[in-house]
Amino acid sequence: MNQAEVFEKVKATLVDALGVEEDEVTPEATLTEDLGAESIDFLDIVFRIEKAFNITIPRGELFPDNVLNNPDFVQDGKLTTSGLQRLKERMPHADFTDFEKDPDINRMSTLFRVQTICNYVLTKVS
Amino acid sequence: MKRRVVITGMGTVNPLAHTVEETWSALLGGQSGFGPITTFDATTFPSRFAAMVKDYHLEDHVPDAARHATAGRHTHFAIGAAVQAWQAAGLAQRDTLDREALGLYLGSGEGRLDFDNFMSCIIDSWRGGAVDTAAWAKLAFHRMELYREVEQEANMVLAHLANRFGVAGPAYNVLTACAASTQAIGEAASQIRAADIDAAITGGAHSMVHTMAITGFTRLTALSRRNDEMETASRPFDLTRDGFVIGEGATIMILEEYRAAKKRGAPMLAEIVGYGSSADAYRITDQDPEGAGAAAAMTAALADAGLSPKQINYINAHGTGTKQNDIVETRAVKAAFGRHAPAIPISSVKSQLGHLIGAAGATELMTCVLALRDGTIPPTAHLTTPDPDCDLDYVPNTPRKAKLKYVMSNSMGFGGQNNSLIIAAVK
Amino acid sequence: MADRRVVITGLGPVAPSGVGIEAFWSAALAGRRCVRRVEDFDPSNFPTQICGPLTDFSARDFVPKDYRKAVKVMARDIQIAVACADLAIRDAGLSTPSAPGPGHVPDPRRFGCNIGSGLMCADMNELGSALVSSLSDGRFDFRAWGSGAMENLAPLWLLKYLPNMLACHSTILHQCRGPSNTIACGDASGHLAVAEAASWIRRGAADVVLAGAAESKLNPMGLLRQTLLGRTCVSRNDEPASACCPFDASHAGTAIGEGGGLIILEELKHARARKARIYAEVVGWAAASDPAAVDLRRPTCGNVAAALRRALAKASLAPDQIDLALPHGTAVPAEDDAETAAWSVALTGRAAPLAACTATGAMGSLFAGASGISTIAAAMALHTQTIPPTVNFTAPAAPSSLTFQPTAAWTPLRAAACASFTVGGQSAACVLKRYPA
Repeated sequence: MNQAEVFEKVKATLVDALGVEEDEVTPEATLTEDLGAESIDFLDIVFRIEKAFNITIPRGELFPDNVLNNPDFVQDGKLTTSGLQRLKERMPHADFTDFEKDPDINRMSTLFRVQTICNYVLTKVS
Repeated sequence: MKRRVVITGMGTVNPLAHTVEETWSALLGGQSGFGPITTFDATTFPSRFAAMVKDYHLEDHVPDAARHATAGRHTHFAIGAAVQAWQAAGLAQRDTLDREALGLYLGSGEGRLDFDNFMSCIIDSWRGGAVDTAAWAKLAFHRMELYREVEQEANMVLAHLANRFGVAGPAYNVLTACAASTQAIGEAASQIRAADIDAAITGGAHSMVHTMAITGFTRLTALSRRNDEMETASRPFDLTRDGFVIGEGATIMILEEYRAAKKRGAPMLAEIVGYGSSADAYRITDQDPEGAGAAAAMTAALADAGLSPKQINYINAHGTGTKQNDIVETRAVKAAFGRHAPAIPISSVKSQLGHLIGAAGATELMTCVLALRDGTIPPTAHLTTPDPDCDLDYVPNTPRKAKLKYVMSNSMGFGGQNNSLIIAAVK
Repeated sequence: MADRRVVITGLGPVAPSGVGIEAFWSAALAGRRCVRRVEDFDPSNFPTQICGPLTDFSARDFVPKDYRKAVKVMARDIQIAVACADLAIRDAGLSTPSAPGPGHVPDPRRFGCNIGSGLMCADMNELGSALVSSLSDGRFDFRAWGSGAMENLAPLWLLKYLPNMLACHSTILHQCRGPSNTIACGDASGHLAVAEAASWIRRGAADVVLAGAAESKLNPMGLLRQTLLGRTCVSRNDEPASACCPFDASHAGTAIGEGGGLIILEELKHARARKARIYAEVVGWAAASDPAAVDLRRPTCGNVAAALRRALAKASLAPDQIDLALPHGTAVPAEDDAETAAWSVALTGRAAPLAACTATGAMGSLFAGASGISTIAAAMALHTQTIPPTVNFTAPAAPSSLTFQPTAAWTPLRAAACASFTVGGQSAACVLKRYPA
């Protein structure tokens, strides 16, 4: 499956899960800000991606959820160097260029883009 | 003249104990109510433990338990708790309540699905990817039973308590998720104030420790998965929290109009002085991040009581031990109490009791009544790694002596319904 | 706060006979009958094969585009409530984020929500497709379920069936941030919700409240349970439209309908200040309980006589000051008889028979939704000074102080009383008065 095919299928999944229009689903779109996802939608997206691509996504692999529970990784609302390192290891499918400039935990949603999902799926199906 | 409302009796069946006083000692002694799920085979589930009610037998509380043989597990808890409350209020000895002016107001949950038969009917009538309802009907009419089906309706707890205590007055059941019994007590008190009734049997009962509810909460990733440290798994306001611990139980209170209670010489455990209700109106499960909804309920309760924020001496938190709740609740307290927030002790007894869902609010209000009586604040247990975003005084790990005049109890329901109650010693 | 009066300014019915107040009321006056054979599933092995379904109903038509994704986490009951809320708010001329218009924007903090709800039934096909992945030797295997098969169930599954989701979605859509409650008390839920909402307004906790109830038991589990209770009509599968006949000598059980009704309750001065259309005033409300009703095999009407008596007392109205009765009328013979007797008791002291109507014959039982619908019918009857017909009624089953008419009648109506009761023994009543009187 090539990148374009993956993107089309991810797009269809997001249109169903989030009730958005097809043209809103661009690779750069963030799930939360641009596509209006709330926390339960992330669960739904993972479930639908699993079904759409017939893959299994272990909990926390696509969208890591417990990095923030470690006091060594978060200080004053920002990821520490080791926290950032850990998150990068956990999310090789995400683009950290923008987030790294200011690793404020409230900006973590910028890591969760349509392209992030596509990258992850590509590693799973290839 | 304004009608005042007092609590004259309390009873409880919960994961820590089956009496009020034993619950209180267990809380202050740092006990934890958590253990392996025993109601079904959960040994492979991601969360295998819960705050279960243990060794409970209705016959220990009533001589005629057979009368309630068809009732659900939560109804049995409610009856045990109600009988205790009735006794504590002195009504078992001398019953003078007018049944026409006695109401019932509960926050009770649904009864338990007849799981084995429900599942087997679906499985045995499964044809080509769907239930064949003609085949299903044949099986279901054979396997399913009237009482087990109807006892699932949330109003059936009312039916059993009305029967036991002869209630002919208004009977309400509400199911505002985790805020239900706080709301029930608040609305029951409002009905007494409005002179619709003179007394009420109120509180909540719930048991969601069953296969489908555990499945549902597991799929929502809401439950703690600390199977190896289950005794300390509920960690409100702690950075290492990983979800709530689901529990079950019932707490029932007798509320009476103050002058009538005084006239009959009833014990007066506390006065309900304020009640506030609100909705987040934000998202389905995400709470308003600034806590505006929960703050509105607290502010409404303060206004109802005619109190200013600095007069509250202790807040019993909703405190579920989920990241979202703990942070939002902290912000909500700050929004409602402003500069006084850091000075007010806050604790979550869910750290030891677990989350009793519909029964949570009433059980937590009961601990507030005891805190007020003894001048002792129950702690937030298992709080060893404070979350920097939760920066108020959560009374970690050990009970604290304090002079308490006004105490607030908060409940914030899944789905955005928030309720707050304020109690005071009876003057 | 005793001078705070409560009026009805918006009506949102979703019923088998019609969606929205115009369609609903014209169908009511025409006596349209909606009970038909069950089509949503194969009923051939059920003793009762008739129902009152909603037709061409989709909640997607009642939510803004950006909320449509949420429809997938709404059971049918929730979808009905969401539609009722939209209709009631628009009918009231209020403007909210999801029902924008030129009208008054209510203060969210003073806008409450009180929606009654029933026990929702899980979609067996959705559950089944996950369940069958966990079988060993053809039986459900807890260990297989716990260790992985449960992941075939949609993660948001539980949210579809939580009773407070009727209120949750409605409050989000319309920004009702005031008091909020979910009454789960069977068929009485709608009247209990209206009663409590009225008390909120009277005591000053809110100025506007969205109140009522919605339910759908129109699924195999719902039909099974009502059949086990012996409440459904099993003898008229060949003549569905005339099968359900409350209070009639030929009554033989009910049909399962689905629907709901939400109304806008408003403090009188608030309504007048915005020049709202006022349908009626809510002047009395009360509830009651029958301690013997725990015995499910004993027919009951939940001590509804006491609920009616107390509601009239709260309204300061004598029985002869009421001109219309809206009984629950389940068409279950023993319940009809108990309810008939209860109305006679409640109307003690009244000389003449009281005109009455019920919608159950036309659409079947709507359970919690029925008490929302009957409140709407009472408000419209007072507003238009019209008594709608009661279909499938020709001769009373028992001597009664209530009289039902076969056709609509225009007549002066000063006040109306509506009541409901539920299996398990709770009841509620509301008394509405013509406004202006």
